[in-house]
Amino acid sequence: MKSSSRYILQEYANRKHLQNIRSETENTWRITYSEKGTKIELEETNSLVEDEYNLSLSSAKYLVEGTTESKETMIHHHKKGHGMRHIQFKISALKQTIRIFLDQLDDSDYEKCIKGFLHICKDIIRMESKQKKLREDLQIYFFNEDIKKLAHERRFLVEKIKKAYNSKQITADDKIIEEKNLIQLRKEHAIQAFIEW
Amino acid sequence: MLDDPGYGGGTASGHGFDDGTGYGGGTEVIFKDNVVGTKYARTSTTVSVELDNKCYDVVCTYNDLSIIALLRSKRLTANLDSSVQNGNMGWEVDLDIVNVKIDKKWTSPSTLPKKEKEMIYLICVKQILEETFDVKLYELETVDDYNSQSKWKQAYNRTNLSRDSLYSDIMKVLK
Repeated sequence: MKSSSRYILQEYANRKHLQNIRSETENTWRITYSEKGTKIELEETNSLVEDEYNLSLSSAKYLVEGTTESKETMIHHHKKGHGMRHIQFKISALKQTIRIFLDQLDDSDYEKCIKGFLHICKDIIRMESKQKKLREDLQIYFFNEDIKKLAHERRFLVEKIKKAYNSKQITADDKIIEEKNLIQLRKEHAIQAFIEW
Repeated sequence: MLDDPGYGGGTASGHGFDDGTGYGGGTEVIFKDNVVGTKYARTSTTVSVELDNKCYDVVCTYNDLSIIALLRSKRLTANLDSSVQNGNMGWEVDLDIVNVKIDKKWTSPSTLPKKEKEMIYLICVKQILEETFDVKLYELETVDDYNSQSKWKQAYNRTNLSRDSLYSDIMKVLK
């Protein structure tokens, strides 16, 4: 179960604003910005007792949840399996919930997808800041310089999402997204970064 | 739970999860020809420990051994092979301490001094063994007992607990 713990945000966050909230079964790293009634929160939570990870940006309800298939250990040879990981992106915007399912990811691909999401978060936060005319430079408030190095991971994530679309693994309110929906969604700021292939 | 300094003990309360993640389904014992294998599910609990006048809440994850405990009962093992009937089936606790509360603050176990963490680990293993298998390991009461390989051996032998567990969960730590 220990293997589920991923602490990726710390590497790319502005540590000055990073808070640690540790409870009995969860460990969360969080950055919060509030101004003019707008609250933007980016947080990474590792379950300490289950194989669960989530990274969320609460301004427009973006949530990425990762889990691992169950592992097995055989008594006589002590073989510990390394399960494949799954990610679900849940985007609640435009009065609907869009879900993107990415399956059968190994550890390395799983991390790349999460890093790609962080790079997208950088742009979503910047857009939010511009729209709401916030004073602070939010890219600097939330992230350090290393966030810019994640452009490659973002392309990797978008490529994975494209494959998920082709295999009908993207839904809007539980209905599979077709090409006509995709054209419409590309016009929406909240989601376009995820489907820009 | 112990009151005197230099003693260690604990009480446990389970979290329990049954959420379809693969951890809620329970451990499976697989019988194939003359080989017995186990597909472990993990579970977790919080153990309250008092040690050297300090109180800790310790969150542990470990192999769910409840099915093994059931199989130890004669009624359920009537048609199984003799090793299972005799309670000699191999299993291990594989306990991880994932979180510790000291003075109302949760902290990573990695911040604890090695010896302190080791003693807490041994107390938790004892507690989980006692609760899972409904046994009393009375050989283990003082800090010296917990640090004694022979006391652990006596306790495991008397209660017929797994040799695999004795070596992987206890002896490796006490080396």
